[in-house]
Amino acid sequence: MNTQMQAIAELDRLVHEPGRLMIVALLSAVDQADFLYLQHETAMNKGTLSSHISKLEDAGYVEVLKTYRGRIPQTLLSLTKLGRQSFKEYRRNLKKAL
Amino acid sequence: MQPIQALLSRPRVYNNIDGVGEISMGFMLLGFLLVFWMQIHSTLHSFWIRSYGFLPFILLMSLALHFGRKAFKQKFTYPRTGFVRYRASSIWYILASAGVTAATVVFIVRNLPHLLETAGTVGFFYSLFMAACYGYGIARAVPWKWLVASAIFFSGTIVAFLPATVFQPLVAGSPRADNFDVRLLVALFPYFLVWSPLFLLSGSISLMLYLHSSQALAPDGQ
Repeated sequence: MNTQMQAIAELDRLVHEPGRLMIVALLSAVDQADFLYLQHETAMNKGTLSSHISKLEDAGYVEVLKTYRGRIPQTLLSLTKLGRQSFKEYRRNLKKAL
Repeated sequence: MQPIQALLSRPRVYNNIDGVGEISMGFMLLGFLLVFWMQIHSTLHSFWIRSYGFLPFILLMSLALHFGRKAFKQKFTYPRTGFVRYRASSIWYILASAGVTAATVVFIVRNLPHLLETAGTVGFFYSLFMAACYGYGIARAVPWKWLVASAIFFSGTIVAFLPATVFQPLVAGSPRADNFDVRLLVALFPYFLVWSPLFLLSGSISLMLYLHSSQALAPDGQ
């Protein structure tokens, strides 16, 4: 298998899905962001966004913290070390593949 | 890769989505104008000339702008379009910035007499630098702000090449009119005077557009 083919085969499928790629890319540029910010930036509805976040959380890529801002519930999200590393590798493989 | 790159720069763009950054900058320039004016028109022993006078003023002004901006974001921006906490800059970035700043200050201080003699050229490059910083930091993400970047450059260039006699009224009645530091303040004053309304106007337009196009989160939360 040549390098390009190998790079395509090694792309992380969990990150590769467009919705999750947006979430991971946005979170990689910040320390922490809340659910509302991701919803605003990705233009996804609550259900779809929650489903993607759950998948990323299950894989250990995203850390979810439920808290309150005053009396209003707030969901804070951040990328874990594993999540950052995976995104870095994903970008490297994508560059190789292209 | 370009769409990913665009996503990575979104949080930086988000920082000024409400225009509050520019409004803060406008108020900061106004604060400096006040300090400059007081220093130009003060006697040698004035409170404003002493470091215990103007430094606490600048510190207080910076704190007021920092906390005012934070309070606004908590009250209006976060409930409307979400909260973001930015990553701390790396130690190398901080060291490099400090090095560049220190080198610039040393260069300016060592060449001050020469720089004041060639104020037109220096002012031109200063305006170009300010417009470039504004373009890179803000206008890149919001196309109409290139008009503001152009206005910063052209207004600064006009100020740079105006004859020195135009600014004489600024020092009229100043007891220290011939002092070197007063000449420097007079050289900087017109730039801040033309740029502060530009920042305030541009920030206010962004703020109005933002408040008009977004609404606060319903009480059921996220």
